[in-house]
Amino acid sequence: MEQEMDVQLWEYIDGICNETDAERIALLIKENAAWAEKYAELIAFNSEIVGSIELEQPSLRFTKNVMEAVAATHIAPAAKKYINPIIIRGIAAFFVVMILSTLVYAFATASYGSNSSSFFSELSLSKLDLSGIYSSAFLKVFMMVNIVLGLVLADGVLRKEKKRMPA
Amino acid sequence: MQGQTNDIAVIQLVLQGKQAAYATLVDRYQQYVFTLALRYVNNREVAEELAQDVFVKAYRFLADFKGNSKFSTWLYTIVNSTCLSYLRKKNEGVLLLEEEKMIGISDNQFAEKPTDKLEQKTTKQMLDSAIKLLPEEDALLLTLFYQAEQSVDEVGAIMGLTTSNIKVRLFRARGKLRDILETRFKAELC
Repeated sequence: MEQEMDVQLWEYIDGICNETDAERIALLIKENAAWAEKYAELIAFNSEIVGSIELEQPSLRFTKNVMEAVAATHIAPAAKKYINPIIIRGIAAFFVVMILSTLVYAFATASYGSNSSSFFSELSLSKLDLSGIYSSAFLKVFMMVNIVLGLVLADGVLRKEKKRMPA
Repeated sequence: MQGQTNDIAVIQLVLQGKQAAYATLVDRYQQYVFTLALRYVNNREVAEELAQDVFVKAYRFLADFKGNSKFSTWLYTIVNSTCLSYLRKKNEGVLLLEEEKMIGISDNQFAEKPTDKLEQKTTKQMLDSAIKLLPEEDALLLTLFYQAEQSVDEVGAIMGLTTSNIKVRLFRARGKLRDILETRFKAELC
C-alpha cells in the first residue's frame, strides 16, 4: 500500500502521470495526512538530488584533444544518401517472388488424385531428383566461392583474436 | 528549446564545413558526456578517452542527426553504445568491478570506524558518493534524468528501454539511493 503511494507520488513529482491522476493525487495530498507527509518527504529528497548531483569536469585540454581528432576526420554522408530504399525493397521483392514461385510450382505439380495415400506423400523428398543440380558447374563454382569466403572470415576472426591476446 | 535551436544552428554550420563551430558543442556537452562515461567505467582516464571517442563519432555521423530528438539525446545514445561496447570488450574488468562493488570497496570505504572517521561531508559530496555506490545502470539513469535533463521518454530512447521500464527503474534507483544514504551515511545525516 505504502509502495503504491510512493509510486504514485513519484510519478506526480516527476510530472509523468496523466491529468486525471495528477488531480486525484493533488487532492489526496491536500486532504490526507499520510499522503501529505509522504509527499513532503519525497519532495525534500527530490530537491536534494536535483541540487546535489554534480557534473564531473574532464581535463582542460579536452576540447583541444577532440578538435585535433576531429581535424583528421571527415563527416560521413547521411546514411539515407547511400542506402537506397529501392534497392532494399528490390531485394525483399526478389525473395518474396522466389518463395511464392516455389510454392506455386510445388502446389501446381503435386498430384491430388484419389490413388495417392496423402497429400504429404506426394511431397516426399525421396522423389526429388537433385542429380542435375549437384552435377552442375554452377553449384561447384558456388561451393568454391563459399569456401573462399569461409576462409577469409576465419582469417579475419583469427587475426582479431591474435590482436586481442597480449604479446 | 532555446538550447536545441542553438544546437541545430551550430550543427548546420559544422555541416557547411565550419569545423571550428563543433568546439561549441564539445564545450557545451563535455561535462555531461564525461560524467555519463564515468558512471560506466569509474576511471577518469578511460572515461575521458571514451568521451573523446563519443565526440569524434558524433562528428563523423553528424549528417545522420535528423533533429527529430534533442541533440543531447542523440549524443547520449552514442555515449551509451560506445561505453557498452567498451565494457563488452573489457568484460572481465567489469565483472571484477561488480564483485568489488558487491562485497568490498563500499564496505571498506564507508564503514564507520571511530579511528578513521570520515570527514564531515556536505550533502553534495554524500550524494555523489552514494551515486557512485549504485549499480552503474541506476547511476546512469539518475544522472540522465536529474543532471542531463532528459525526460523519461528520452532516457528510454538513450538506454534502449521502454518508458514504463524506465519509470520502474527510476523508482527503484531512487529507493536504492535512499537506502545507501540512510545506511552508509547515517552518521553524516544526523
